[in-house]
Amino acid sequence: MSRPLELILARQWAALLSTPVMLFDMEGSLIFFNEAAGLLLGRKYDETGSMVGPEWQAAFPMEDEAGRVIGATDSPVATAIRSGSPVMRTVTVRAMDGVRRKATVTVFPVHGLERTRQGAVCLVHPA
Amino acid sequence: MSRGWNTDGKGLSVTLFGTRGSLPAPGPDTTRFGGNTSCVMVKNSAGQALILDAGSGIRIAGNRLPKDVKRVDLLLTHLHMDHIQGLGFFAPLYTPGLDVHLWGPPSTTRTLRSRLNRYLSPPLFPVRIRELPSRVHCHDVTQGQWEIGDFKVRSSLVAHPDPTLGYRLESEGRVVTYLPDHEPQLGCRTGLPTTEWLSGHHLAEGADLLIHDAQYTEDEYLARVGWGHCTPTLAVRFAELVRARRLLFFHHDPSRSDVEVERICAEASRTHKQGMLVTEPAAEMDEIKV
Repeated sequence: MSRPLELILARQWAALLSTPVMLFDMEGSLIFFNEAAGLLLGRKYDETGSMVGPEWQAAFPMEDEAGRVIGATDSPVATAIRSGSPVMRTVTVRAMDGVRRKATVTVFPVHGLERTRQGAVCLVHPA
Repeated sequence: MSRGWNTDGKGLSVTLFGTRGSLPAPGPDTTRFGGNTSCVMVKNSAGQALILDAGSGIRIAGNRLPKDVKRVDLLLTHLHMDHIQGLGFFAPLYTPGLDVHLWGPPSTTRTLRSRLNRYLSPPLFPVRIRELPSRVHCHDVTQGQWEIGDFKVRSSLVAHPDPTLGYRLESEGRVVTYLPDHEPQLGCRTGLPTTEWLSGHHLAEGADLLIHDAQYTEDEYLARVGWGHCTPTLAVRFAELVRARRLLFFHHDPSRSDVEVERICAEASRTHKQGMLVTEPAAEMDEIKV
């Protein structure tokens, strides 16, 4: 089963960007990240493939500005998908190469042609 | 010409009333593959017919329907002119009381009916939809699955500018997939993506007959990336990935002569190295048994 066209085109767009981009489906699975995001996360997408929520949250936990790990339901991705509204937040990522990297993430939900929600796009700005 | 595979009396009959893309291209150089724009009729052994797209070929298709037909279903992939320009000349629309069902994509802000009204109204056309004597029912569809008589219909958005659908029609154990305007390679730097990320894959998977865009040569495509079309060679790759049994190269460029269509499609067919895919250029008025 192929993914919705909105996500297919988002992936093709992301693959051509030097801006780090991650794509999530409606279940919160990380279904793609581009090469620039791979540098921040410490692994390439070709190495990890898709990761369901618990997998990516364990692989690169996010911390808030006070250093507390952000729970699965409070993550910017979960909030954006649940609310249907964009979320912007500064976090620290414990990347898969062991390095902690601070970044501002902007997550916006993907609303399809008939306002059906298809997932979310996360743009990452190194802080 | 009528030809095909089904020998049990069952199965689908696919008639190509328009195979050309973008603009009608009548003339002495296009008599073999035809000059009419997109229109295909798929009929099952019970005689139930679905019509795909309303290019200029639909004028003839409309005249081929039985006089006592009770209901007509027309599935539109999208509303670019070459896919709707024949609509005003579709005879069933002028049959008093006949139920004509139009299926197609809305935009983010306008219904299918509203979008069609832009064409079927002055100054582009003298007759408005509401003035037609038939009973016109417009159905907004994007991705979904539903039944029309004995046909199981599945649609999904596919890679082409503006909201554009592909269709998968199933009846009597046969599958016909219609992707007349499709650029599955858009944004891919090396060939086509894996099936999970391949536009149109789930519509075309295992199709007995795949009718697919093959408008551009390789050189033309390089200058027209993002215009929403495919090359014959990439259509072959797509057909291989979805494991289609038979591929019709469709939506021939209006500048292409019969000789050129034959040549570029033959060249593309020779690139097929896996499986038993049958390939050929779509020719107007051909009737194919599936």
